[in-house]
Amino acid sequence: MKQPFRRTSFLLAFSAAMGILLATGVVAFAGPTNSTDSRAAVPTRASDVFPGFDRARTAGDALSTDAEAVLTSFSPSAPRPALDPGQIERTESRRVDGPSGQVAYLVPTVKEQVCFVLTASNDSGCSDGSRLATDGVELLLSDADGLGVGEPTVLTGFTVPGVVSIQVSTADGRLSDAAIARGVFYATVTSAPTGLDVKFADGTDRGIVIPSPPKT
Amino acid sequence: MSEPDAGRPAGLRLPLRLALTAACLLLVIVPPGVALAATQFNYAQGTNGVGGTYQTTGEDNRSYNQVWHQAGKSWWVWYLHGSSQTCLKFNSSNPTKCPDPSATIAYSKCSNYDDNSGVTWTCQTTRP
Repeated sequence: MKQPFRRTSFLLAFSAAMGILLATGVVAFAGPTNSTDSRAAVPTRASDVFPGFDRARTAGDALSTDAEAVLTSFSPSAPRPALDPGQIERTESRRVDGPSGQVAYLVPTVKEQVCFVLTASNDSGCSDGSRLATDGVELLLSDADGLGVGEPTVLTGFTVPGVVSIQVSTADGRLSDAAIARGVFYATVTSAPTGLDVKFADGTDRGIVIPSPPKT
Repeated sequence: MSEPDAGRPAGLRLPLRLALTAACLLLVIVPPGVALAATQFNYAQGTNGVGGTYQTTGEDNRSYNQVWHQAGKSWWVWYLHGSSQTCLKFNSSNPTKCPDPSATIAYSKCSNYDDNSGVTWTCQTTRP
């Protein structure tokens, strides 16, 4: 004997379940509709990926007067709240002695970023750790007088613990090794840098393109 | 013949000297400070615009040049003197900053390499 009511109910329930599954899949695939960003995952705390924070703090980690002046200036001078890295937690600062006289002062912020000063290259800023998490390095490039002329170009920054070597390629076809010590790297080149080859302890490597700057 | 301070209570000598010293120090220190003070201003602001390059409307002596942007997105900043670039910086830290003065008059410039974060960025520099 046919039972049309039960069959109809089953089809309706089945269709509803399939609809819910498809809707869930579509939403998960599409992501937020207002997103224009395809960034890799940002670490919950930048201090989880920056060097120095994997050991206990000592008296030698206190900020220098100059470093503290720079690091405390960031949060108050941000032009809008979305760009504010947050007040620094100075009692959590770390000093890392890198290669070639490069000393790094790092300090976490209340917004889970890390602000830093690199003394030899006169670089500073704040980071959410996303580049370190994605690329294994956070690169800072400086040149006093333009790439490929006069003073050498300085390539410095931070690495995650698994990085064993960084090779810099330049426009003249040369390759040179960056010095690495305690999670800080440093290299100088006289030709325009074009990329980094970052090698990890597990045998993998990652190529990072260094773009040419705008001409004028 | 009388002393130079004749008639002035002895207890006022030291405070008067200290006040005079402080006034002299202020007169020496304040004018250079005022002369060195520079005014910060925004020369470009926007959202996204990967590949865009921006500059001040004219040349001037600059104290620094920086762009505030989403951390993790890369920017260039530099000074342009004629066709020469100085204080060139490229990084993804926030702000990306040339902390040095321009030495001579220059345009301040910033360029967005990959900032498609949707967060409003702001290029800032100074004028005397």
